[in-house]
This record gives sequence, C-alpha cells and structure tokens, in this order.
Amino acid sequence: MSLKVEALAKRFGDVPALEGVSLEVGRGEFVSLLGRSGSGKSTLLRLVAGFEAPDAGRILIEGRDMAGLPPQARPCAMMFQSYALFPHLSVHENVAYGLRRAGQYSAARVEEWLALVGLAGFGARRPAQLSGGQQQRVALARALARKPPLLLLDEPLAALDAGLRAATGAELRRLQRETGTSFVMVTHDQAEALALSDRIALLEGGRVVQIGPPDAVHARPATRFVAEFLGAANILEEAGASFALRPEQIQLGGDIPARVLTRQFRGEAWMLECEAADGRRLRVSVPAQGEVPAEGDAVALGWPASALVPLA
Amino acid sequence: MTRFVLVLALLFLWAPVVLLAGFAFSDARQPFLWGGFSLRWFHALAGNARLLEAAGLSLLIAAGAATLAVLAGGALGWVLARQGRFTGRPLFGALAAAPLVLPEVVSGLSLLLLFVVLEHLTGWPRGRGAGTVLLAHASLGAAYVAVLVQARLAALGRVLEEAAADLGAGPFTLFRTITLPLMLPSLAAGWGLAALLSLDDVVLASFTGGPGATTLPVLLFSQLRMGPTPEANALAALLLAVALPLGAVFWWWKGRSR
Repeated sequence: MSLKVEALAKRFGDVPALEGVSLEVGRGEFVSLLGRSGSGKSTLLRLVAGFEAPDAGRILIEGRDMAGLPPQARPCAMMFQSYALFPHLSVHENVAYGLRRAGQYSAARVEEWLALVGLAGFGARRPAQLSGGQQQRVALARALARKPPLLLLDEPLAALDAGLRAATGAELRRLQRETGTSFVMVTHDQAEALALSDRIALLEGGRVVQIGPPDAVHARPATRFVAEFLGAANILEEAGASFALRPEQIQLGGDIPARVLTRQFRGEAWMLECEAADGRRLRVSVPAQGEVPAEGDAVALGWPASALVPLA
Repeated sequence: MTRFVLVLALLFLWAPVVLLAGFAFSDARQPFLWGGFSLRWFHALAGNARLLEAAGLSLLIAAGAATLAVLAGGALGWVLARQGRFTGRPLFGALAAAPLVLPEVVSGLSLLLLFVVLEHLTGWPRGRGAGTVLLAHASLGAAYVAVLVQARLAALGRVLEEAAADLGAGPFTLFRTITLPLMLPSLAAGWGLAALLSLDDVVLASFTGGPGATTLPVLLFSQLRMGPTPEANALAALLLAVALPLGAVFWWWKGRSR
C-alpha cells in the first residue's frame, strides 16, 4: 500500500474541512480526489504532504506513520497548482533542487528528467521565460526527480489552456505508468478525473461519498450529488425515491410524450434538451448517425426499468 | 492635456534641482543671482575642509546606518511575515512600524533621552557623536526595511517555501536557498532608502549628534542663518553628477530584467 489514510479529521477554527476520511492508494495506482471547492480535497492533500497537521486520524505512506514528521522528512512529493517554480533559479536548478537536498545530484540526471518531459535544452532558462505548459512540465520533473513512491498533484492541469489540457493529461498518465509512481490528484474537473484515474474518490462536505473505478462510478452513482457532479445524468423523482438516468439510456420511441427544446451537437452524438408533457426536463443523447429530431419537434421517450439507478 | 500636465509636473520636480545646480556655476556671492559663468565655488569647495568633512561623515553614517537597518529590518520583516502568531505579535508589529508614523522630533527626543539614560546607567555611549547618529538613523531605516521585506514576503506567499520543504529542504537550507534570495530585491531597495533617509536627515542628527559629529545636512542647515554660499550648490551639483547616472543605470537595469 502506497498511501493509507485512516479516519482523518481536520477543522479550521469552527469550520470542519475533513470529517473522518479513509482512503487507500495501491502501489502504482492513479487515484483522483474529485469534488467542488470546499469539499476538503485540497486539505487532504496538504495533510498528506505535511503542511497541516490533522486533528484526528492517521496517515501512512509506504507503511510508515507520518505523525509529527515535517514535509521535508516525508517520502512523498507534491506538484502545486501554481507550479511554485523558484523564480530566481534556472530550470536546471529547479529540477536539481530536490536531488541536491538528498545528495543525489548529477547534471546528467537533471538533463535526463528534462528530456523525459520534452524540455531537453531548456535547462539554462528561467521559469518566467517558459510558457504555461512548459512550466507545468518543469514542475512535474522537479517533483518526480527524486523518484518519490507517491506524488500528490494539486489541480495539475487547471492552469493550462483547454486545448493543452487533454494532451497534457495523457502525458501525465504516461509518466505515471513509466515511473510506476502512485499518483493522488486533486481536481474539480470530472472529465479529467474520469479520463486519467484508476479510481476516483468523490468528496462532499469533508467526506468521501463514493469511491471506485471511473466506469463504475459513472454508471452507478451512489448519491444525488455524485450523479449531478459527474454531469449529464437526469435525476428522476419517483414514488418518493430518486433515480439517476443517463441520457444515452433514453430511447426515442416510448410512451412519454415530450417536445425538443434545444439540441447541441457533441461530435459522436446530439444532446437533446426535452420537456415532457408533465413538465419534467430530460436530457437525451441521440447517436449522430440516423435521424435526429429538430428543435420544436414532438418526440416520445422511453427507457428500460434497469436504466434507473437508485440514489441514496 | 496629458502632455501639458506631464511637462508641468516635470518642471515642478526638476526646476529647483536645475536651478540649484546651475547657480553652482555662477560667479555671484548669492546663490540666487547669476553673476556669469565661473568655477570659483568648486575651487572654494575643494578648500572648505569643514564642508568636505561633513559630507564624508554623512556618507559614512549613511552606509553604516543602512547596513545596520538592512540586518535588523530584514530580520524584523521576516519574523512579522513568516513566524505566524506568537504572544505579543500585534504589539510587536505596532512597535516596529512606530518610527514610520512618529514625528521625527519625538523620535529624536526619545532617542536622545535613551542615550543619556543608557550612558548614565552603563557608561555607554560615552557622549554623543557619529555613533549615536548612526544608531538613530539605523533605527528609523530598519522600520522602512521591515515594511518593504514584509510586503515582499506577503506578496510572494508561502507556496515557494512549501515547495522547497516538500523537496527536502530543512529550515536553514530553505532560508538560505529560497527565502533570502527572494528577499534580496527588497533588502537592496531598503538599503538605498535607509541610506537616503540618513543622508538628508537634520532632525535626528541634531538631537543625537554631538559637537564633534556634524553631518552635511546639519552643517548646511546651520549655515542658513549666516547666509548660504554657492559652495553648497557646488557640492549639490557634484552629488547630482554621481546620483543621476546611478539612477539611470538602475532604471535601465530594472527595465531590462522585466
């Protein structure tokens, strides 16, 4: 086990940030902590890194209890949202910083890391002379240079342009596989978490509400919050209970009369926003091949009973 | 319109300086009458030991006070920005900033009393002179340096230091390799500011100085009563000739490092 968190609790003054969070991350696993701002996901990361001390609970990295250890004595490394590159040092010296502290510095090793993130020959520059994407890769190389068993990533893609994000995410995943490092990534972007992680932990109000592989969490959200947060799912209230219903599970040609309000082209499918006769709003995904109703058209909707996922 | 205001502002700022330097080359006895071009006041200045000695002493005190101010004020600013909450911190912060808002007359008087009482109790400082002026200037300068350093560290935030700690730097290594280099620009600016404050101070130097330690501003001020001579203008022109190129180099360097 790379990281084990047991019943972790933390309050800031009167505000509870974490309320009994437990989590396990296996060796070489990529786990995302997904939640809105204020859900406690960043606090969890800062507790593991050692920047804050927990009020209760235990943190074990590679089986060792981290209680009372300062950040510099912990085996994990952190990649900061703002990258936190040292502005007065060159790119080379930024990557070398951790190696020098550990007495493992060699210029060749730094150059190797720079090459691995596609920045060979950039060593002499200052961080301010790099683009956002390049800075992100320097931060990644700096954090990984000492080969920590566990890397904590705080919104690693949030500061990038939308166009760069997908490619950089894939790069992140490749480096994670190649180095065999366990990654714990904090993000508020559900698409990012679904795309990159082995498992996703959803946080709400300082608690983990669901944890599992992306496809499982996506197909069977446990709570209304998860269903809404993962996006796109319709929430139905029937007989006093709530159900999630994914747009692609709804078929045209059923027994519920509705009208198409708007439609959006999503490449592989059209997303229709429909209003049923009883006033319910439903989002329906229709494959791009074949007939697609126009805005204002009357349609009939239906779904199999098995498509309804009960929510807590 | 903008241009007009700009010209007016520049005139307002620089006309006195230009006039001051210009009259250094005037042959007249009064420093505000044009008597034809002459270098006689530069010759007179070269022979005026009192004025030159005062200028030398002023520069020495300025350099010493600024250095002391950077050491004390830098430590003070770092503590206020980085050591979080400790008992008495609000009081400490208020006391550190006091010299900024205290009228100089009050500072001067209180420092004089402090030195007198100290001498009475411990025998040090023996009388008042260059040393006590230096200490007085350093205490004022330290307050300014502390404010600059604190503002710089607050603006930078803690994330760079957290990153360094995360990469394995202990407290001393972290301070040496990250915090101190990041403080350096504010320390340099603070040194310059403290030196300037010391160079043109009359009040503190009058209170805490002794008969043997007359700084340049104090000497010029005392000469006012007997009527100033253009020697002072000549001295000012020389100082400008040194300060202006230094300033230009500083601005050029600042523009380049962006």
